[in-house]
Amino acid sequence: MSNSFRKGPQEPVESSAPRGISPALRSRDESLLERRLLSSLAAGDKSALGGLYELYGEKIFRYTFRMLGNRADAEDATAETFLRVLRRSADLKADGAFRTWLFRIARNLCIDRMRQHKLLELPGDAQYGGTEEKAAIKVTVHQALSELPENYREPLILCDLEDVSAKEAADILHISIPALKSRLYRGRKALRDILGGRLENLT
Amino acid sequence: MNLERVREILASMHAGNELTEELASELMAAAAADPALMQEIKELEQVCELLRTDPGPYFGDGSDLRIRARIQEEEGVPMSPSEPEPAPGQLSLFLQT
Repeated sequence: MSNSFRKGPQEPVESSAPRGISPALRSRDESLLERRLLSSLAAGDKSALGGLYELYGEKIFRYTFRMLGNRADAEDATAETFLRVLRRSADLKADGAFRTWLFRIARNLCIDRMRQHKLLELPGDAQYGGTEEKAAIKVTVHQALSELPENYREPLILCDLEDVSAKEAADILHISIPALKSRLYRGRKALRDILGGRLENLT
Repeated sequence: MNLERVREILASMHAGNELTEELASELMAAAAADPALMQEIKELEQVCELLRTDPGPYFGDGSDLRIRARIQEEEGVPMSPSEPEPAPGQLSLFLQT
C-alpha cells in the first residue's frame, strides 16, 4: 500500500483517530476520512481502496464469516466486496450511505454463495482464538444462530453482533424498521428457546 | 397488533437497548408488577448480552493478508497493511525524511 494511509508526522490524525478519544469524535474523524477516500476513488485514485479496506475490511470479514460460517468463504466474499467497490468506483458518492451499500454488496455475495453451497458450515473451535471456555461458548452461539431461519438470523448478526443501527440494518435488508424490530424480537426469542437451559451458564 | 405482542416487542427492544430511557423506565415499572414480563425481559437480555460479548472470528494476519493479496492480484491496487497503532502511552518514533 502506498504511504498515503500510513500514519506519520505529515498526517497526524487523518488515518484514524487516536485511541482514548470519545466514540463520537472517532466516528466523526472516520466519517471525514471515508468521504475523502470516496472522493479520491471516484476521481480514479485506486490506492484509496486500501484506506477503505482499513476502515471496513475487518467488519465486512466478521459479517461475512458470520453469514457463511467458514473462513475461506468469508475471505473470498470480503475480497470480492472490495473489488466490486473498485469496479463501481465511478458511481461512488460521499453521501454517508457508503457503509450501508458495502454491507449490501457483502450480503448479496453471501446469499449467492449460500445458494451455491446450500448449507451453512458450522465453524469449528480451531477457527477461533481465545480460551477453551470462550471458544466453546462461541461455538454454542454460532450453532444456535445457524439453526435460525435466515430472516431472523440476519437482523441478529447485524444489530446484536455487528452493532449496526436498526435504521441501517433495515436499509441493508430492504425492510421497514417495524419489520426489523419484529424480526429481532422473534430471532432473540427463537435463540433463547434453542439455547434453553444453557443460557444461564453462558452469560 | 395485540397488547401481548406489543409487550413482547417492547421487552425485546429493552434487551437490545433500543428504548428511550423514559420508555425503558415505564416498561420496568410495569414488569415489576408482572413476573412473566420480567422473566421475558431477563431472558431476552441474556440472549442480547451473549451476542454482544461474542468477539467474533479472529481476523488475524492470515485472513487479512490473503484478502489484501487477492485484491492486489486482481486489480493491481497497492494493499499493504498499515503500521499498527502504538499502544496507549507508547511513544511513536518517526523516521525523518
